[in-house]
Amino acid sequence: MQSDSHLLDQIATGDATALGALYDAHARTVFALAKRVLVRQEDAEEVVQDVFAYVWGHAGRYDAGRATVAGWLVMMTRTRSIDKLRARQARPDMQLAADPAPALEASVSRGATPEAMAVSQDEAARVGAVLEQLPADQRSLIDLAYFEGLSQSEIAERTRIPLGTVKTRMRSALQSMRAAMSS
Amino acid sequence: MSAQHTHAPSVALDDAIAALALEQLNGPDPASLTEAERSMAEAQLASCAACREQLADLQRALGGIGLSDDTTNAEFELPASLRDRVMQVTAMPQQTSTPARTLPFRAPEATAPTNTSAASPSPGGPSNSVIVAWLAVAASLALVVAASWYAMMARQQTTDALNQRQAANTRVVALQNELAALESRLNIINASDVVKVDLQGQPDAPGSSARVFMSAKRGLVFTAERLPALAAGRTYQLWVVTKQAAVSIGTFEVQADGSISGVMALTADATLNPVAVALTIEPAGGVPSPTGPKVLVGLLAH
Repeated sequence: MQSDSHLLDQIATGDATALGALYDAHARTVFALAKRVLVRQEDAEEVVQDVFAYVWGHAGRYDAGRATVAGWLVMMTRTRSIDKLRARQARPDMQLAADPAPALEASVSRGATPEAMAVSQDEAARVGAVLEQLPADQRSLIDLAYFEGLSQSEIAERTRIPLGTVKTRMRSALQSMRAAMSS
Repeated sequence: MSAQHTHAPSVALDDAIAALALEQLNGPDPASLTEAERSMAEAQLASCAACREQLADLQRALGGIGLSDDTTNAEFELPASLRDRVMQVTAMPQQTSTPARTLPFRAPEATAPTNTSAASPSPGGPSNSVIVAWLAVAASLALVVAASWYAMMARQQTTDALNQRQAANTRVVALQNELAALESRLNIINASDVVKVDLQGQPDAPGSSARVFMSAKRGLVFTAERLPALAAGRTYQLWVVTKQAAVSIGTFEVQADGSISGVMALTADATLNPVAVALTIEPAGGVPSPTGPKVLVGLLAH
């Protein structure tokens, strides 16, 4: 079984089989995240297609020194999904609006700090474990920040919880997650 | 990575570092970090390695959410057809670069010089040469006409085949989308946390009724009947009323018979202590908070 990095090298040379292998390895993760953000199955599927199409066209831009492949894919999926969610909320009709196709490349740079993309599967597992243990009032705020891309002030406005309370709960949640990663 | 701090414990600094980590995830948020707080945090980050480590750890923790089992272990079916659709991106460029359709046009060009060479002067006499030349020209013209006709027919057949294939693909995608929409609806209705809410018509629409299936994990299915036609510039807007606020789920138009059915996304704040679902009539485009008459209301059973 080839490493993800090697698969990206092959994809950059036009190897379609390598793209298939990368899809087989990560499609569930990409789809799960997109579905979590967008809820609608068809929207999540579109994001999966967008992300892997981007990988096919830009595999050479992956920097193994800055991110794990999974972290890179997850960050692209998150930003693309949130873009799509916001486009949908701007026109929240029952019928799916024909989304414009904003350049995924531009969205990749947002939120894509090397630290966020370099997290290992082991660390992510510990983050997941602590997420399940967070009090509901902290967990819901983390969800709004990560899965809807809301800032703390937007969260305060949306939930009508005072900004100071949002910051306190968010800090507590992040500290719990940090402690879990270092344990 | 280490959770050890070398700077003096400070809630304000921890808040500021957390705010910076969230800003790097979601963009600038001046309202949550004053200039004084930002300056203090940046000064600390410049001089305190533990502070920088703390910020990096928080970024990694946030990055881990998308990869965590909590996200990826959700119940869903990855459609088998999705892989084929993804892989189409690799096939398209290869298809467009194949020059198969140009080949028939080149055939007569290749044969013409051969026939022309047969019409070159020979010792057989001028009259025979002229006849041979004319025959050669006529034969060449016939070949050109035949080859062109063949090329045109081949191109037409190829175009027809491509059009048919495109139409079939479009139909397949439409069916896949319909199937996906049905799957979304079933997934919500069958979710372990699903809540059913029956909405009753209010004085402005006494004959109307609706049913909502709501899952915090998967979304909301909304089906309504006999909704009144709306005046120009008005729209229906659906709300989940929580203990904190009325959260907009979306606006929509109804069918000519007053019915509507569809799947809508639920934002996280709509899942915080929901107590009711309501439908109101609002100005076109919707409003942040309900202002118009309630058409349908349903209370969640607790």
